Amino acid sequence: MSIDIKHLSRRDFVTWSGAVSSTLLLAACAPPAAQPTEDSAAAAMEEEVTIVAKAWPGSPFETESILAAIDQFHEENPNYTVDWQTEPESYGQKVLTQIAAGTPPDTMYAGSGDFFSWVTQGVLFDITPFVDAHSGFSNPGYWTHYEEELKRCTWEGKWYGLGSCWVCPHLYTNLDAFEAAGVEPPSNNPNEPWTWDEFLTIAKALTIDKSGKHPGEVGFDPENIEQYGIQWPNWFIPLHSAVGSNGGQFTAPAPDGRFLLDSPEAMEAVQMVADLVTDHKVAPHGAFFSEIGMNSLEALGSGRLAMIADGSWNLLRVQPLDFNYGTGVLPYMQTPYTDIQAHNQVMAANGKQPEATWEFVAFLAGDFYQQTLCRGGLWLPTHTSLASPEGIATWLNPDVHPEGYELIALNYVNQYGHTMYMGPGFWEANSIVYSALDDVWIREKRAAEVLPDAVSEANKVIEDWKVSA
Amino acid sequence: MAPIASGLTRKRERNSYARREVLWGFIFISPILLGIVLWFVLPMLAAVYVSLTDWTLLKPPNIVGVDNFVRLWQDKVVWQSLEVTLIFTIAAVPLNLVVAFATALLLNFSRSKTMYVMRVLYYLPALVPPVANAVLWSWLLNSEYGLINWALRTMGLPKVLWLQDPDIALPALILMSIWGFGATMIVFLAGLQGIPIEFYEAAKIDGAGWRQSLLRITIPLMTPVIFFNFVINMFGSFQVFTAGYLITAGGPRNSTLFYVLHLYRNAFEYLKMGYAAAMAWILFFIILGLTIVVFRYFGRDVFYLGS
Repeated sequence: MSIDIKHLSRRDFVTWSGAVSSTLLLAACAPPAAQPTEDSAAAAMEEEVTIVAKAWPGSPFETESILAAIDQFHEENPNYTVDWQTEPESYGQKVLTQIAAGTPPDTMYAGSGDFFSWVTQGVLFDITPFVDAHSGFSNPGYWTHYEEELKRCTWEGKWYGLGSCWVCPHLYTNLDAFEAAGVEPPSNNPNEPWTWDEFLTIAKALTIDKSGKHPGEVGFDPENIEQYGIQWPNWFIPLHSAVGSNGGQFTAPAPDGRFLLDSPEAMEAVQMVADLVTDHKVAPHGAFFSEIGMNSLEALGSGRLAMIADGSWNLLRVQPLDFNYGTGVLPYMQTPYTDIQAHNQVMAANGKQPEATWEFVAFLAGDFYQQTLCRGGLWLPTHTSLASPEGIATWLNPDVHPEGYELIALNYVNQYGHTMYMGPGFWEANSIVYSALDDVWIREKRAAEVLPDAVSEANKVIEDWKVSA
Repeated sequence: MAPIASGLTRKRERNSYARREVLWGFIFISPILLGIVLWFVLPMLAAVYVSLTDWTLLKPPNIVGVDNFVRLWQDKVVWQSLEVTLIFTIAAVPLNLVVAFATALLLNFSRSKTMYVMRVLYYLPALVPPVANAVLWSWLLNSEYGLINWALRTMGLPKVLWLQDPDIALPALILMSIWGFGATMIVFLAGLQGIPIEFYEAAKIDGAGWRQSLLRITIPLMTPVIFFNFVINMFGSFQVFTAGYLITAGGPRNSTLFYVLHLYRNAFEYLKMGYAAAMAWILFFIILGLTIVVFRYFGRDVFYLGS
């Protein structure tokens, strides 16, 4: 068919433009040119290999640490180059899109809330053979908290990732506020926690209005509080700690995953956290920090807050604020309890060079990298090699960690730390529950009024996800 | 023979001229045509297929029939988001039209330099990118240091929890949407300037006051423009997203969970592409249905000059 441009009919035009546009479309959809791949580690040892790693961007300290670790890795394995890519927004969605497009990174972070979704959707590489062949990782004695390690890294008996570290919420204190109130600060010893009542009494003593009065005193003005005793954030990690401490569960263990926040113990715990703000007036309402133009840690540092129940990872951010800070274990309701979790380092199911990638994943999961990040105050160790007196000395950092912090990092985490199963559909179900809890935080409703319905709605979502999986 | 032949040639020449004109016409509109096919028609057709599957991006899709639509019908959050969107539309569209029309009338009073400057000033907010706009308003509406509550405070009025109170957050976003009325206003202004001045002069001679001129001349002659702005604004407000996504994240208590925001979450946060595609098609039919209703019941009241 020749084209006579002068006598092109409308039909010809449409035919030709249709052909051109579909060619363009097909070209755009075609998979990218095949990358040179290596089939075995032996071959990889000989040739240059680039390992693409995906992560969310951390603090400058994390970036510096990872880049230093990559240099170290490169030095030990000169033929391996790591391309460390970070995704500032919507990390999980972008990684999954990349995987769906057939161009997965070799290795990436999997947040604790995404890990099991990713496993059940088949996007992660089964690393069990690698783990079994590794003298360290395969040994239960290698891990400080093996039981929880298995819970967060394995699915149906198979390993799909290696835990980066542990982190847990605990108390941070402004020691000057304690001294001014003449109150003894909390202990780092997990066997000496405050009861919830003791904690409330202390939080009241540390809550001061403009005229120096405390909650419960005549003339106390809850509208003009200068210093709050505590902040117990209500997102799932600190809330799970409270619920667990009252003998409840946030979600059912794997593979169930249904929300269990409608149990009497869980609802009571949620209410007790809400009451800190609405009834006892010892904790600020949600908008307080945006009102004073500070984040919660700055409020702690500047004395607007005396205590905060926050993640251990924030020690990294507390330290540069340069104030007299301390730490302590969380108060308990029925039993001492804290949430432990952290991201896993995982490999993509369709990765082109699993052997080479594993070398890097194993390197990151080794002592070298964990020590670095523990020393900075971001991570807590998971290796027994870092739990002995000599091991502790390699990461415990007097510039960052308050005295006796190893009791939190090791004893508290290992005795009272519990992971929480966040299975497929967790985020969607969680948004239903949290939307209902909005009313509880502002005392429009009680936890026991909203949670039964919200949890049953949320569990429908969880069931739906199971069916579709 | 000759006259006939020359007639045919002339006809053929005219024909080929017309053809060439058509071809060039197609060539000129081909970028937009290609864009529409690539970015609208094909994705829409793909969405029909996706809406009948359980596709999650990661696994090959399975056909599930109308399952997504059935579940959509039973999803309380979908209904809630639809209600939020409807309330937003019912409140924001008329408000926007009235404010834009009133402003356009005021700006049409004279064609002095001051009025040109005012016109630009009123139009400017419409040029602010939606994200910048959302960030700006989240500051203005902040309950403690926001400019709006500061103004209330200086007048001795109590503070309003604009974005934290489930009963107020949506009205706050509706008020905020008026901020961008400039685009609607400029269309009104163009319409107003298209009304021949003689009509007003004649009315004046006949003793009509400004109110009669407005009701008997301006508004009837502006009906096509009002109608256009109404339909465009309605489309836009059914697809409202940015403010709910950036300022309130759909909260508190889902009070600003717009339909499209819920759709987005299903697609890109929960990866339920099939479900989200079904939601998109439902929205399409809702808008289509409303458009038909609007054209049928209001379209006939539109008065076109010269028709």
